[in-house]
Amino acid sequence: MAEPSFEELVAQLEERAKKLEAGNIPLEESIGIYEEGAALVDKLRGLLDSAELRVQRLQGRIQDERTPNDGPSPPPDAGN
Amino acid sequence: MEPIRISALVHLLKDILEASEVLSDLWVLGEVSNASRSRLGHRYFTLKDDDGLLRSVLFRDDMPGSMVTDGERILAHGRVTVYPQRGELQFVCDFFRPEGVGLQAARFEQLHARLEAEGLFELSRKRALPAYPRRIGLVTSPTGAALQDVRNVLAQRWPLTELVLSPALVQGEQAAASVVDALRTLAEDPALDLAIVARGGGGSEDLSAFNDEAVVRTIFGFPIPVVTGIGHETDTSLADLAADVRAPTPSAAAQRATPDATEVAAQIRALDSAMAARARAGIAARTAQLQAAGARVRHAAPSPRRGAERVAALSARVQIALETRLAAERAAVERTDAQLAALDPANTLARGYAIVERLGKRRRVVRRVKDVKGGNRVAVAVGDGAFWAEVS
Repeated sequence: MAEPSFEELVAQLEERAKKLEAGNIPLEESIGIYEEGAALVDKLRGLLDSAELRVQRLQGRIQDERTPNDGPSPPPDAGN
Repeated sequence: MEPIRISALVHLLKDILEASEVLSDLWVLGEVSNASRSRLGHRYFTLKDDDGLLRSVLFRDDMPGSMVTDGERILAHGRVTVYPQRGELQFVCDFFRPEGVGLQAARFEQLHARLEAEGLFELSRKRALPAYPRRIGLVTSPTGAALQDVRNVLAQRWPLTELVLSPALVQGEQAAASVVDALRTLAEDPALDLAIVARGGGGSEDLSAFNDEAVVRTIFGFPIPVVTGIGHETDTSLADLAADVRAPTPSAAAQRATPDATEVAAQIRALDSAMAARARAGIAARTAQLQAAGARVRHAAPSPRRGAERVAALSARVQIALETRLAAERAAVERTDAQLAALDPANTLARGYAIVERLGKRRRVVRRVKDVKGGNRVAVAVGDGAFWAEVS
């Protein structure tokens, strides 16, 4: 199964927060929800802290042309 | 040979002319004479030069409200046909501009009008961008500054994404076909959730690739939202108008395409704190309830005691969770301190910006031109202090 996306994790977290906000749930259950929420927070924080932009270049049909007005060329991609 | 009927002949001529690709989509340059408007709103006129003339019509639904004027030299777009009832050659014009506009500008305006009428620029057709994009396609020059700009913004702002570069020529004769190609290649990637089409500013103001009909249509018909960041100072390109979101530069496009990780982290922190507060409040309320119950029920009922033990256990769980939170919180606060400093308005003012506040009964910060009227007194805060001024 695919890892849940950031968006899905945020949605799950928001759902937990909303449930707790609404109240009227037994204490034990609310603690369980809180723990789930805390785990989601840790996961999201981990994603935010460890993320590094990945760049991939597709094969285009163009030659390695130079466009004089378009500034300097970027450094080559590491690991691609 | 049997005689051919006149109506058959003129219709045959009409069919021959209308089958010609050149004659069904062309620009002509001529001087207007005999301009008149029919009761139905069609405009009839003659276009001529030194050595020839062409009866012309601009039907009611094309450029309604515009009138050609005798003596005016115009660039007119349209097709050539035969008007069978009179056996006359006729130029059916659908767009015209004064000659002085120049062919390139006239072409642009005609395409603009046509695509607009088709609904390619409708705001209601614009799609919302994904909240947290995972895979962003980028069409730009592989050697240009735009690529670097987009990379930098994404790395800083939302590194939780993959950037897929689909290289294209962005200037020159082959640019339009190259951009269409690059977009089509991207469209084959099912995991992509957003595309950026970018070109750096630089010296050239040649936007022709981004005013090309095929490019505009490809952007409009793209399966996922498109953000343009085509650096140029003055005009908006048709590609910009067809995109779901247009930004003035490649960096701005990357910015519009992504959330700010710092803000997202702050939102998560806020949810976290709210949940923790709720959990604490729940424990406190239950403890108070049990104490009240214990005070009321004197005899040895086991349930409040069991309840108290349960609450104590839960409380310990929450305590541990809270302490973990707190440690993470502290680390997060330290990390964001530096980022917050960058947001401090004082730093912005020191860079040469100013905050303008309207004085008087309804004192408020001026955000747009209509917030002030002539004669209003305003206070202007700059890096090292403030002064007063009057709006003229």
